[in-house]
Amino acid sequence: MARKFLMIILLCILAFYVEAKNNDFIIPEKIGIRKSSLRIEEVIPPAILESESAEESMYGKYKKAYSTAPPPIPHSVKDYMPITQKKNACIECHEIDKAKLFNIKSMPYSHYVNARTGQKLPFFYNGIYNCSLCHVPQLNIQLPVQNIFSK
Amino acid sequence: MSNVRTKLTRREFLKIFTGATAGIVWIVNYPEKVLGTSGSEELNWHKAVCRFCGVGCGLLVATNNDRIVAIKGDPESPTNKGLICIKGTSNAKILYGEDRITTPLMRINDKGEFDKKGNFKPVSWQKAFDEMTRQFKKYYSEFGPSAIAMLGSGQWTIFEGYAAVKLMKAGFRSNNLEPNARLCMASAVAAFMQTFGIDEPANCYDDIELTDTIIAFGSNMAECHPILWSRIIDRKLSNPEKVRLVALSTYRQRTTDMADIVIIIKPQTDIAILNYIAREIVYSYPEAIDKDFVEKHCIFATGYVDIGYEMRDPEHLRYTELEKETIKKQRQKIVSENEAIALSYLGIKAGDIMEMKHTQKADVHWAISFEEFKKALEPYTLDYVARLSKGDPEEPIEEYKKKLKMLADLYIEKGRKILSFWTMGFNQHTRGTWVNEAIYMIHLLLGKFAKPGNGAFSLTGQPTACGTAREVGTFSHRLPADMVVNNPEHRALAEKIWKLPEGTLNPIPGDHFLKIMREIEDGNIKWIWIQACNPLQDLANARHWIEATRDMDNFIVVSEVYPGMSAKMADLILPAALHFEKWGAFGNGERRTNIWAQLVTPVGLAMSDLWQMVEFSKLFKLKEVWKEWKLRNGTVLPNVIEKANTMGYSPETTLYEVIFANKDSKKFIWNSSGNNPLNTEAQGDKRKIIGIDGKPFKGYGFFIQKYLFEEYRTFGLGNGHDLADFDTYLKTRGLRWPVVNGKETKWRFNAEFDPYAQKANAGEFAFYGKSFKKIPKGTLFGPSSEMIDCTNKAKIFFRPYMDSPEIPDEKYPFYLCTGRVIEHWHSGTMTMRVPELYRAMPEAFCYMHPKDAEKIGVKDGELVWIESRRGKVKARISTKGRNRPPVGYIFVPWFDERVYINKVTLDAACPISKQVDHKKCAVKIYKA
Repeated sequence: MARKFLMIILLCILAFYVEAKNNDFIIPEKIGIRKSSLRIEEVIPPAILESESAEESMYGKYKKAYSTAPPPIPHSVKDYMPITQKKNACIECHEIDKAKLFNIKSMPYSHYVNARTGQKLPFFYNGIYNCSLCHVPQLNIQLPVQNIFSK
Repeated sequence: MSNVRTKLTRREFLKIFTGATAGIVWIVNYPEKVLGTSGSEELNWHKAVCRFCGVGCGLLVATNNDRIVAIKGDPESPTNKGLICIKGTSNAKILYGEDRITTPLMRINDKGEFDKKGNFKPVSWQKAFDEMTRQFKKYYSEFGPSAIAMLGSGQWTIFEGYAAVKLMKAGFRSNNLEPNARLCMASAVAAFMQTFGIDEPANCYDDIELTDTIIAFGSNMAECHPILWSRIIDRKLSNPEKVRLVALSTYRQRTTDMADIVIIIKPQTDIAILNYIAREIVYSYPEAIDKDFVEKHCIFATGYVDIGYEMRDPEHLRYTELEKETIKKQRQKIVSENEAIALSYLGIKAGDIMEMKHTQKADVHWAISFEEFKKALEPYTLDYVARLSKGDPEEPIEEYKKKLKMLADLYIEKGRKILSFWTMGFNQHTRGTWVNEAIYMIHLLLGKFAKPGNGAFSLTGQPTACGTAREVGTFSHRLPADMVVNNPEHRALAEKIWKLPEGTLNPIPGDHFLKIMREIEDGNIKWIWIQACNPLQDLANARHWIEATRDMDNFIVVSEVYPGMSAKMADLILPAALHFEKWGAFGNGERRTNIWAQLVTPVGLAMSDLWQMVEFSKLFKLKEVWKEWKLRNGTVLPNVIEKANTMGYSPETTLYEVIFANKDSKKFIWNSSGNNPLNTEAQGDKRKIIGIDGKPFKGYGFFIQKYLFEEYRTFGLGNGHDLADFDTYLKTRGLRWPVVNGKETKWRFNAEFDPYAQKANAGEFAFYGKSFKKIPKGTLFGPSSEMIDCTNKAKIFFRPYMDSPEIPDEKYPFYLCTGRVIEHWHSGTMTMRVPELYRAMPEAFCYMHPKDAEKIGVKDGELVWIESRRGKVKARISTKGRNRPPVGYIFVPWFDERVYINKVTLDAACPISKQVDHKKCAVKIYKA
């Protein structure tokens, strides 16, 4: 009986040892963003829609990346893109006077300064007309790899 | 006696209450300020340059506790004046992905020995370099310099690129050194060299604020050169009546969304459109030609047309029957109706069999007369070109013709300043060199070039393809400062500067990027070191490269920061330091060189690519590398060891002592006091990592980065590539070369602004590049034996329209185009690990027209297979996103490892530049 017990324990230890040894190896198909072989295309991309046409419920409110970063867009931009010369839906709501009126986040006064000349302007600077150069919406999805910037 | 008040006045209470509330509100909004990660006022800001695109924005970087904590745009940088885009912002986080590679990783078996079939395990730097060297010497001693290769990058710092050139060319005598810039800018470079005799743009970013017209060809500046786009939009919206903005593209995207005129074209037809504009000028508005400029400063030229598409030989055993349907055109093809019209000047007719006789002479060109140039342009009427090039089947042809005419009129309009921009649409093209030459053709005819507000500006994609790859010459055929390996005078100068025995340098150009991968597949290259690029993800027809790197007898070393695809195919992965973890120097797309200091210690055991190459050089003695070698083509490199002895070397001297730690380098003192105290290479760092000799690395003891830069600089001084000194770049926000007497040059070749053009004394302009200035004279049909000298002149090339090698048909009815989106850089190894960027754009979609989606029977977000003759991948479709292609066309960005689009693309390239055409191939699409 004791011998049987000992055998089982030894087998367990052996199993752990083999498992641990195998665990020491880094298997390329199991790491990184693509966790599958490069040879076969059975990888299924994550199940979300293109970020500009996803439903409102898929978006989340996230903080700025850090203190001097531009704030992300906490809502879908599905109905507001594209930005053209004739239509900029972002500015229609977020330029300072309108934003005060609608009681939503307004663009900062720094957006009313010509970045190249330093001149203060009565309206937003034309160089930042394309809001999507700096501001992007944030889907509520799991990250494939965490980022430890703020740790 | 206590004086404590027991009762607050109402005013005091309100003060405290509002103060507390404000404080709470403030704390809730800015927790990082309370928790000590600080607001911007308390941080120490250091200047640096963005890691990403060729715009080259200046950054201010804040550090705390040896970590990056914040980034802002540098208000003092003339490029961006304090603005940065979403990727610029993410520079703070790219160092901190959780799966950063922190130790060397090698494939080993259970016994701990290297085994190509094994999985990875962490090993020490010593063990990594032992194996790496053992494998290198095994192959090198048997097969020589032709059997080893290095793939580097337009994201290598200038120090790293220069170290690589010395290591490979002066050390191992191998010219198999190529940057990923071959896949990005080679067509632009070849056209610069052929047209002007010297590389890089004549104009500068200042032209944006000075011009009246901006034409964006084959590019998506809104996503790929964001801050330049910001300057362009500022110019346009501030002068809406006068300034015209035109975008030509094969699909609607964010750049076309902002244009006054949008011209959607068929792939490959860009040359036809440019020839139409030239025809308008020459035939209908000859008074618009700047006769003075053309007569004094230009000649007309042309070249061969039967040059193939740089595809594999159709008999190649590793290519399937399906693939051969396309690659058989490498030998010969049947001339199409459309081509016959374009090639009528050569007497070629539709249905003729064109045999590709001049694949090895693709770059040969010769001078022709203006009359012949005019004759060749004749077929490019508005009718022909509109019919050929209209890309949107739903657009009425009369509408389209109107737009082409408007475009031509903008160029022709007297006094209208005009700036043309392009990037990969022109460069990643089987006739990429030709298209680049064609846009110069228009600007040169009109004299609208190299002047403030007037120019043709080839946009550079990578942050330092200019500064490192092109200027330092990290190519199979190049040396620094536009010199080439097959010119004996250039080799002699390099040997002098590098203090090498005469005859050390290999005169035979090596394998270009695509060829290096093909030679690995053919078993001729056995050892390769890949740094700062991701060939397994970025090169077309990926199945071949996966099999070549994994299934053949070779040794693949990849220096990487994250476990990307190339790292996964490697035999040995070395942890690389990233951007702010090392001293760096970049040169952006307007020739602005910039230097930054190391700001933080590298993570884990990571060390810079520079350190890795310098350490590697310690393991080779001159007797092992400077002996006699036989190259793959039979050329014999002489033994130079005896000559080396007379120079004070011995056979036992290490490469390290010759090319990195020599008498000259040791004069560069490293001083760690001052504003920039970190320099891992010069002095080691707090990690005291155990180096390749098993001992703690204590630094080289001298300022190696400054030494490399100052020595590299001597190549360019006095021959049009003048750089300022190291310290100047460290102090300033960069300068545009040539920097002569401390003054930068904004408009090259223009005697008013360029001291070299003044010196040439050839009038108002001098195209003083020296390459390809002695060419044959000839006719449209070919060269004669008579030569002409076109010193100081630029060439106006005539180049015909030709089809791309793979066009949609019944079996594969869609065009596939690949490219980028703003959120992600290249293969996504850095940006997919930044939460803000991933959440904004988490996967690569297949952008398609809603009518096609309906026909295939898929809705937005559903999966399709995208299949070509070469492979297939799955992707979700998007019909309402930022990219809106016409019917019969799809666009798939390549940043997503999970949508491995380069399995599908075609490995055809421009035969002159060898740049692969990633923009067009034929696919079928069906529900997955």
